[in-house]
Amino acid sequence: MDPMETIKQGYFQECEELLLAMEEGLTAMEGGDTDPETINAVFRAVHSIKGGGGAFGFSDLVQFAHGFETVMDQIRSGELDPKPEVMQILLRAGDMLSDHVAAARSGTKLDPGHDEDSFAELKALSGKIGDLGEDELKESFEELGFHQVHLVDLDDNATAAPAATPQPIAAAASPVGGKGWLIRFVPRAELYAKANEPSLLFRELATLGEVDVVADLSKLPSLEEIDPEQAYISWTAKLHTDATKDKVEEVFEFASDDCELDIHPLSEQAGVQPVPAAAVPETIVAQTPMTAPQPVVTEVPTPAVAPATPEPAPIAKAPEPPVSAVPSAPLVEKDHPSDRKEAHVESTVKQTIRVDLDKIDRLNNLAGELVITQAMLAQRLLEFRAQSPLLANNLAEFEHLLRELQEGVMAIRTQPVKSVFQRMPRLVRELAAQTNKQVRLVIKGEATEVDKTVIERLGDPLTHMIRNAVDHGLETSDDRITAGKDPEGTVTLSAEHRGGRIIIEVADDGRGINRARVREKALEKGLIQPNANLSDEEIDNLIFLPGFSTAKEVSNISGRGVGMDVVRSSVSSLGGRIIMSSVPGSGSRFIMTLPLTLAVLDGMVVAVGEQTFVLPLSHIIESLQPRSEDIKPFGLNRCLLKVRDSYVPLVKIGGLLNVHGAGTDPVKGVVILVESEGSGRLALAVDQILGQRQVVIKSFEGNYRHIEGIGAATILGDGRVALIIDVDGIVTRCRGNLVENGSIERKATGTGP
Amino acid sequence: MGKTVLTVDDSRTMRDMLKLALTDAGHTVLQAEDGVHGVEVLAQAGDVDVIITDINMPRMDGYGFIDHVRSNPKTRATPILVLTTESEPAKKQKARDAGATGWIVKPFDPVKLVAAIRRVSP
Repeated sequence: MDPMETIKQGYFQECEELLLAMEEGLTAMEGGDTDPETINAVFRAVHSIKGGGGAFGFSDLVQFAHGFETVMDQIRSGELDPKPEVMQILLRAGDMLSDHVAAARSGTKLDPGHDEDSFAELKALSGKIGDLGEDELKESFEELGFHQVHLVDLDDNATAAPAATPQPIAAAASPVGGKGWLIRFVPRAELYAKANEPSLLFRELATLGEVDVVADLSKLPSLEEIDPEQAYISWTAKLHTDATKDKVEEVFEFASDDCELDIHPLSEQAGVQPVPAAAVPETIVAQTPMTAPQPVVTEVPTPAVAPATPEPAPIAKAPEPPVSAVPSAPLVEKDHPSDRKEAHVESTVKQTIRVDLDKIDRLNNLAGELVITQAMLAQRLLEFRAQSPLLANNLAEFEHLLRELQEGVMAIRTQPVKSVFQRMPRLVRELAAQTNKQVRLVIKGEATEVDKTVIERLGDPLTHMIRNAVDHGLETSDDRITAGKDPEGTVTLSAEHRGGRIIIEVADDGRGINRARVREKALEKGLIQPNANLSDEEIDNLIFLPGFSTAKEVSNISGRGVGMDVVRSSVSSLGGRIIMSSVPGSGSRFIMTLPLTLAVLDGMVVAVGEQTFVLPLSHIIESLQPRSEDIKPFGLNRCLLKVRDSYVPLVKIGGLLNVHGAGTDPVKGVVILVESEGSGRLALAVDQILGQRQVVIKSFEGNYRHIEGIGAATILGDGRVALIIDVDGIVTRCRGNLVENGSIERKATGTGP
Repeated sequence: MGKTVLTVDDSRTMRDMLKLALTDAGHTVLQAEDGVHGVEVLAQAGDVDVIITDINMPRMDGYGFIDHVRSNPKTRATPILVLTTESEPAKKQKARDAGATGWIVKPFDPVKLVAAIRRVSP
């Protein structure tokens, strides 16, 4: 890949981190944090985003960031007070900046008016923001056309003109015409203190054209009186060139504050002789670049080498061998010891490396294979009845290490949920503004780590739940005051590890679920029977059914045609579950339980005929031994199973997937009741349950192709391949044929089939 | 001829870009993430030919870092280029006062960057 493209991608990754840091800092500031380091961190984040953005020519982004940065700088310097109103403006600006980054990343442009309001707010706040950003940018990009000047290599020059001998070569260099510049350069001591070096400037001048340099040593005191920190020598250079004065000034750009510099057109020189060069007897004339003020070894005060340049103690510096009279000596570049190439030094900063995700996945896969191989080995040893306790010990240790290895590898893929949680404050701010409610978002446990894929797919369901909480859950401030509550509603977002899974909870202290309304609605939609006997909890969870939406009028916030059923199915596709509980008048809680990783799965291993299958545990409700009287024929070749007070379609896996030797009578086998989050329940008949275990998921699509009803595969301890049943797929397929509208099972009470 | 350049910047993007431009020009690049890290890298690496540093950094900013470099007898004569988007004279002046040799305005042009290095280092 083009290295610039790589860096650009790195820039966007960095932007993500910077935006998070910014958001975090702004939120802390909003909460009253006045630590200069917090403010500084926000400033730096904005600054870095702008800096990188400029490099890639994202001019809109840079201009906006510039305004933002200016205000942050004013806050940093104490010029502006970060009072609450100001913080609101900053938070909005932060949101806008992340929009800019997103637009730049997707290669699109924001609508011209998109950031107008926010930018105007910043402008009004600061009073210092002009359209500077634009100018600055233009300047730097025009400069990209800068044509490469011919580089005079020092060595070449030295051999071409061995000029170190203090012998006036001026004559040879005197050109025909008067085109060029006469430069008088009188450095002050500060120039040396800042490590500028006249010889380099003359060398640089030589890239513009032919140059004669004359050193004026008239101010040089006697050796005993020399202060090595002082500047005594001045120079006059004749530069024969077509270059403009700007180019010449550019050479002296860094030095200009610490010297006297006069630049006159060379043609003027004919009449005027501004430099008393010729008059000074001790003048040394040489052609560049050999005029370098030569550091002299102080212990050997040989007057012959006289022009002792007052350079600030460069003697201690190894890389610059003192210049001798031999011309080539100072020009030899030192060789860099190779061990210095990538000196990444240990530091207190937590060191991280970026690794291609593929590599980690390969490692993950290998660790999985290893676990399988170990299980096979253990089984084989059992078959051989190897009775050595030592062997058993070793094997146990081996297994233990393997588990640790597998966990370690999986941990590489985990990230704190912070990255997705941090997007929520902005959402809440926007929702609060749209709904005119006062909302406070409390975030807990954002350091909780979970698999990267889970995090990536967590954004949508979380966003929807938070929308719901603010839009439907919380009351308006007036209603809250009437109800005797704090006018400001609270939405709590929390994450924690519990029993090898991650629990994510979205809670609000709003009005809670209106159960009467939910029930009414469910009836209206034909989701339940009028006489259904439902517990409070069951009513609450009706909102997860497809096609359910309680909002009387569809608001433009949560009512985008997406219901809680979509949330449930996305949670389910991550191998998780979601439930909700509610207390009328005091709020609702949505609790998501998710696996820590998608690489392994807790499954129920079942036998069907000659085959072994795995059913994901997250879908299993219960397993039961059916009685023949509970099985009712239904239509052609179909059965329903009566489970307590309801009927569930009964499907034989053997028949469905054409498995050889599968049992035909469910009564002799076992029935496993599964639930698909979206499409209801199904009773799956299998021959036998073999046990419960964790299996390593092997992608089917990646290695073969998609097969309906099969989600993935795994390898069992005995080396056999077992297919993992795609419960959602099977339930949808079977129930779609059976029940209209995908509604849940008919209640058995009163209405028989 | 290749020089050893230490770049000190808290932005990874900027570090990467500097490294690309400098490596393309034949220089060897050492990197540090902030002033404190920069001081550590210098202590470990011994000598570098040129230092390029950002101003706004956590832990120790560019001014502090320049101060540090200038007050160490070993590095007091090492050229320091300040990298900054702030083209305002005040910021530049402050960096100059701290002892910076020159400056590069971000976003930088690789040609100019290399030229700036040539102007401060033999």
